[in-house]
Amino acid sequence: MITVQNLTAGYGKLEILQDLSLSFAHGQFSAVLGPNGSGKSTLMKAIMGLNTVFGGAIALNGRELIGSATEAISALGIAYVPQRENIFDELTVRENLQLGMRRRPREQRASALQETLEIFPILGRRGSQRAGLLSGGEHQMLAIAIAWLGAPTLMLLDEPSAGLAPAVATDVFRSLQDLRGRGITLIVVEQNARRILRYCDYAFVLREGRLAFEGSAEACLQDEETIKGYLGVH
Amino acid sequence: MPPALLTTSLVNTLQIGSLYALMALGITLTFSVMKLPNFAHAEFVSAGAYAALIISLAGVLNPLLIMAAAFVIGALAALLSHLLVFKPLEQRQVSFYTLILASFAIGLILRYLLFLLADSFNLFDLRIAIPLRILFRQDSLILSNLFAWAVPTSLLLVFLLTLLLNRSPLGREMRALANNPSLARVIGIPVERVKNATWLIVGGLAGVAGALWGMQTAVNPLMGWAAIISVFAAAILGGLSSFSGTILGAYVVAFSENTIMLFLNYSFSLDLAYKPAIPFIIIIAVLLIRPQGFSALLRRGGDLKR
Amino acid sequence: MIHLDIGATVIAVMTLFGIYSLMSISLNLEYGVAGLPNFGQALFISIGAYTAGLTYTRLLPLLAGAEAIHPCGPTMGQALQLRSEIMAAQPVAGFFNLGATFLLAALIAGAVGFGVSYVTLRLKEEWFLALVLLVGGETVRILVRGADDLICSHNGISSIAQPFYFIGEPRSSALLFMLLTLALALLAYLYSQRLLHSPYGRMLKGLRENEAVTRGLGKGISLARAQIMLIGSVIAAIAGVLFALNTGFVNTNDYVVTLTLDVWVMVVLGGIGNNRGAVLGAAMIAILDRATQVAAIALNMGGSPIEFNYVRYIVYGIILLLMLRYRPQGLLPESRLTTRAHEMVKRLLAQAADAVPAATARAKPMQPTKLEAGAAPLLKLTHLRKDFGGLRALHDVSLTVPEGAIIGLIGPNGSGKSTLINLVAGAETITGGQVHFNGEDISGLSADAVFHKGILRGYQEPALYFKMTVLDNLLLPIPNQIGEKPWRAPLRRSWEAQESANAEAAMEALRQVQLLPHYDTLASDLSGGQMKLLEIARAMMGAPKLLLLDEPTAGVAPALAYEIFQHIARLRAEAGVTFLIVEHRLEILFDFVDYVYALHLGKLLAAGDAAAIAADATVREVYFGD
Repeated sequence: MITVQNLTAGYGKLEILQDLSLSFAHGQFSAVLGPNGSGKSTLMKAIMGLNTVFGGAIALNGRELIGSATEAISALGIAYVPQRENIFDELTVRENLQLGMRRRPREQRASALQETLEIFPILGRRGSQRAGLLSGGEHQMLAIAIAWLGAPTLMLLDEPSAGLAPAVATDVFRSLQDLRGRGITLIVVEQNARRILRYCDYAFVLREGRLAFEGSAEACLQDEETIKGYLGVH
Repeated sequence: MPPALLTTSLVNTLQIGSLYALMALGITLTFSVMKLPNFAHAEFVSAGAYAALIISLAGVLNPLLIMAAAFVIGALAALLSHLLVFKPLEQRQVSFYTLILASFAIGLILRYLLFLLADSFNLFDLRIAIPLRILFRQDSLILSNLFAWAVPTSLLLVFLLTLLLNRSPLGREMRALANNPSLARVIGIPVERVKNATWLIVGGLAGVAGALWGMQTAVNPLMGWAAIISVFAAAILGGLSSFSGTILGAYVVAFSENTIMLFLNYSFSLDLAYKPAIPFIIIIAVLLIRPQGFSALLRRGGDLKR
Repeated sequence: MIHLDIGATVIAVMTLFGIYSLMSISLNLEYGVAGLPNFGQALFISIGAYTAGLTYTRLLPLLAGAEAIHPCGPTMGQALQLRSEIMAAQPVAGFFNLGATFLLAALIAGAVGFGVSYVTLRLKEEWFLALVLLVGGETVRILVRGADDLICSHNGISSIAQPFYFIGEPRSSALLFMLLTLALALLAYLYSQRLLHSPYGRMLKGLRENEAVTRGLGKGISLARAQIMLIGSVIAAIAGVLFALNTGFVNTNDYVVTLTLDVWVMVVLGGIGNNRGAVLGAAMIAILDRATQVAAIALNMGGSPIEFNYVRYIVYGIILLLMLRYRPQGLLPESRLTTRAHEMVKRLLAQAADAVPAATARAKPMQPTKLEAGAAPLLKLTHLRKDFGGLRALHDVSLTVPEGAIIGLIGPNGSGKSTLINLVAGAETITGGQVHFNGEDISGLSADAVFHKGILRGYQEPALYFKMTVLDNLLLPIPNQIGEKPWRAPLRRSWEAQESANAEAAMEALRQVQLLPHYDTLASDLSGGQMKLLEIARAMMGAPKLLLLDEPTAGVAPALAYEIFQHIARLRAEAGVTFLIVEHRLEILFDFVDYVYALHLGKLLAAGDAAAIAADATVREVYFGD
């Protein structure tokens, strides 16, 4: 679905991704793993046009994305959930959800909202609360719900489990699995590898801005080299 | 302080406070959504007042039509300022002070264009030509038909604006843009359209405030600028972010300028010439002691916050 | 056709030019150099003018041995007559009065400028200063107009003769007054040029560009800013005195916001941050002012009723907008090579090239060395805690950093590493626990105070002064610079020797990271790797005992990352610096560190030497998963 070819990207003058090539398959729940600084978030931001691309190509179903504005890229059906500031914290939960539906045709909105509350039942109970007052897990669910309401075909999530207690993180990953079941392609950046590998289908491991491993989640779990790669010891 | 004087000053507070609220809400809106303290706001008020004056001199005496003209001119001035000046500057990501300076420059140009207009057609210090009828008179308290028009209208507009902001899809998008601009872009809010709409509303309401003001006192090119400090004081009391805080702030400023000043004058024979110091004291005090103003106090789901 | 007196016009324009230059130099120091938005320039100019109004009506008669007559109301004519007589007959009294006016105006304006900015610049947002000065200026004006006795309220005080009135012949006295004005303007220009080229100017430019970093480099920024506001206010007040003497009367209507905007037009037109630009802007506005006046007279005679002041303001507004939009740097942009140190380095480099051709001495790569056992603790954290709202970012973390050690701090995202650095560096407030440095409790000290204790921090994304040269970046952090005091800065001799020594030290530091050939390059023009090296070199110029580094190798190629750590090892060996390093590139870090602390979810998870941490099962778990 998304093909990245020889991508070199970073911030300002810093090149974080080095000549990276990989591709994400349609309908799959893929995880991008790797230690801090390995370029996971940089990859996401490069797809969304949010940082500097020095060279290479990123294609969505054959359509080149590099050079397009972020709004144009998200209008193609890619939803991006950044790690922070991913909700409107001064607005109510309900207003957040309504804003998320901006791209849906009017007649679909009621059913889409209904479906969202089925996936994230907790949000229904928090409807009139200010979103900034949600707990960490609820916050992430709301962010994911906003993104999903935009009717994307592909969702990119940047460390949705960061700072969450293990049980809550598991809830978040379960709801992502649910979304995959509803036909969404998912790409999730995670640092905590073992947890997400229980839920995702496929994994990419980055190191020093390059692809160190790719394969199914099971294969990744059994790969000792990957574990070592995290700590940088051999 | 004699009760009659108190009543008069309270009526003034209500009257001036409503006008301040109408103007200060515009300041708060532009600051929240556009991240810009817009000093040209004063001249949107004056431009609206002149539009109202001219159309009334041309024989249109229906207050609704007069206000509509003021709204259109104020809204146009604001939209043009945005499209010709602020938007290109924002795209170049200029510093905050450059934007403030640009707003001063726009205000300067508008103000002296109005001076030129007033000079050419001798339009200094005229009242909008709606015939004045006294509805109520007792001691120093005089209530005219214009008062009966202006106060409910400004209150109604403030109410409608609050409703628009808190209940309509456009208001929701404006608040979303104020709260998290990058997420607003990502989820497909048409940011430029929302900004244009914000400018139209802000400028239009400033224009109407000018018309209502001109019905009660007189129109001159400096009228907006003369009120801008009080209006900023009101907006700062609202923490430049809270809608309800700004409205409350407007009445607090008007109350201090009228009732409290009169009380100090009456009880301690403080010269009324010191009245302009009041908004200054309010601004300094708020910035030093409580820069968030009333905003944290009144924070609810519907408030604007940077 | 009107008769145009060329001589008188030239004198008038030149006088105006002198006064305007003072105003624009003042604003350029405040805004252009130090980045302080003074939207109350009219206030400071008016302080000068009102002071003149007071002294010429109250003090002058006393100096001349006469009795002061109340200048307003029925005795106005009499008072005016008395003033003219004194100014015509007693030039000495006139000059004394002028001197007293300058002094008084400078004192009042300086106190107001210093006081207002010292208070206001501590406020939540910096632009509040702009608001306070703007509103303050307007309020003072309205109050002065209302206060009857001060300058006769609405009417103002007219007929304030200029000091050379006694000569009698108008042309000569105007010429002398012009010379006085130009001389004062020249003085202000030379003074501000000296400031700009001094270490004080460098510090102000640093403040303008990055406040947090400058604070972390030990500069007391509130004071520095209040000082430059004081200097600017004094110059503006002197301009105000001359302005009142030149127009001949003091009226509140002259000191409205439009005057402030006039001065802004001059600075924006000429070039922000460049004194020459400020003077050029002043010249252009002086000529434009006079030209519009002449045109107004000419056109009025032709029967056109248009008020030219209106057109003038409209034109100025348009000039301002066009400049901001199309040429924001002004007609004469700011020079990047301002401080004297560049000339010194250039000279030294030339000498070196003569003496030892191609001296490309490069620091010898330093291989990892290890700490000797038994070093005393330099930094000690006890139960350090930090809450953000309801979120606990750091839970009771206790650790020690021995003197001379290289200590690694690792942990996944959000584990609290950067928070820990921020707490030690004084960039954030501590919720609980203590930080001891060298046996002294430094918890709760501000960032600049922490610097002076000997702690310096780096940033994850290079936080350089990108609009300053490599050399200025290195020189700024040096503590105790004589030339950073505003009263010493203009006296070049007092700081030149120190600056020269500092420049040599900076050259040595640059040579070691191979940046010497780039000493006069803007930091923004360096490559990403060079920026990282420059940041470490800059930190070293602050002569820290402890250097806190936050991911020094983030975003650089592996080979360079290794080189950066070699520099760290060298600095430890040569300068005895202790390091606490947050790093994700564990394979490099582990080669160099003496000891590693691992954080997870704000708690200390493990501690040990590199081999122990690498083998630690819990560390593996948090990095890879549970």
